[in-house]
Amino acid sequence: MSSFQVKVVGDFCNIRCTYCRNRDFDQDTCVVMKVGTLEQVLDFLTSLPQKRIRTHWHGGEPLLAGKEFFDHIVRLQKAHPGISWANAVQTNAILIDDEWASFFRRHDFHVGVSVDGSKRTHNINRVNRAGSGTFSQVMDGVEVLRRNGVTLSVICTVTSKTAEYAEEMLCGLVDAGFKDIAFNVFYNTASRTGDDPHALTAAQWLSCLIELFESWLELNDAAVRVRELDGMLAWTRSKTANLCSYRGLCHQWFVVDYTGELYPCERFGRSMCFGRVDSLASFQELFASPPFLDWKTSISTLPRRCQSCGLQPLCHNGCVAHTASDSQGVPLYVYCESRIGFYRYVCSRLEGKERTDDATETGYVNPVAR
Amino acid sequence: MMLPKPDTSTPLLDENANRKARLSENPTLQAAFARIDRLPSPDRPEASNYDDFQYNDCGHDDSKYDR
Repeated sequence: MSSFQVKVVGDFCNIRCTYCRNRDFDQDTCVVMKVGTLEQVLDFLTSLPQKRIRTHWHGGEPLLAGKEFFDHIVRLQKAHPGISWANAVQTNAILIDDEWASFFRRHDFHVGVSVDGSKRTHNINRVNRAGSGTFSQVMDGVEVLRRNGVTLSVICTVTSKTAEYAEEMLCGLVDAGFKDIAFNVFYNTASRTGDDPHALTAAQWLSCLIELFESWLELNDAAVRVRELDGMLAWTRSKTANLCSYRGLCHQWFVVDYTGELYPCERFGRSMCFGRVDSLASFQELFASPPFLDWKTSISTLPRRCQSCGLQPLCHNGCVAHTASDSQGVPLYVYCESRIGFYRYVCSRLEGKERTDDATETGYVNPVAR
Repeated sequence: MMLPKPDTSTPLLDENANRKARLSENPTLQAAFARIDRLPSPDRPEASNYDDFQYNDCGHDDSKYDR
């Protein structure tokens, strides 16, 4: 099943996170997807053979599109009665009021909120135009959502400035009432370089994962689910995590920009456009098109390291947008060593070995030194 | 005659076994493995249904759909 992220306002946002991949983007004027384009997008999605379509309404900050636009989404979806629509929205929650929350509850939208841990860690990076932290505004919105019975999850972005506070970030989110928690490692996908001051090294991400794991065990709250930890525990049962960066199925993930242009996952930026929803007759045409096939081939080539790795069927070279060329010029997942090191660490802990804060004891090898 | 005092220190292997046993009873881990055990193995036919539950790394956690 393909998944779709629709950037209803492109990259426009009402806050200015210091690590935002669009931070150099001119955001003075917000442009919203036209209703006619939305109609074309939904018509195009229904050309898929599947009867259940999951759509992630995204931005920038998608709520900038306004309530009327979201009313159009629901109205137009109802015009396709044979399709089961699963809607999700990812928001910074600042614009949430009772009307928004009631809408999401009434129409069964799943709401993901972006919160970077505790008030202190959140406010390091997630700031408004004036440079002030946004935590209090975000939590006001979260409270309104909860009061209206909306199902919530949270994504916490980890940067080099916050990675050392893994325990604080997890405990901060749990204290704020979140149970479904995901941590995204920040990597500069815009320039494909690790030089970004916010980007984590493999060693930093490994240490962060270990601290999250130990803090999660200490919390001992069975209701708290951390996506990254579930992913690695799945490996210990020879299962593939239920997450795109473990699945090797990036070609099934699409972004539709507010202009109606189709792209691969937004982590690739806009360098590869597959066409427009009003110029492609169907998904079948898209799947057979040379740009799509070339791109699919390019992301399917495995680096030499993966070819001899026993974990490859569970890992699939990670996120294909988070890669750097190996010695053969094939993109290798930059957090390969973090994953393998964390897997070894979790295995050793499940075998009863003592906790250690020394990542080198997991068998971690600095890829730069090889 | 004084008998030598028994060695009460626990051998390392036993310590590991005890920790392993304690960890296996950790409710947080048990709940995680209960979720994970519902995932199909990659080589089983139902793995093709994975995509019904796939969620995107940067987009959204669709946890409500995999419960």
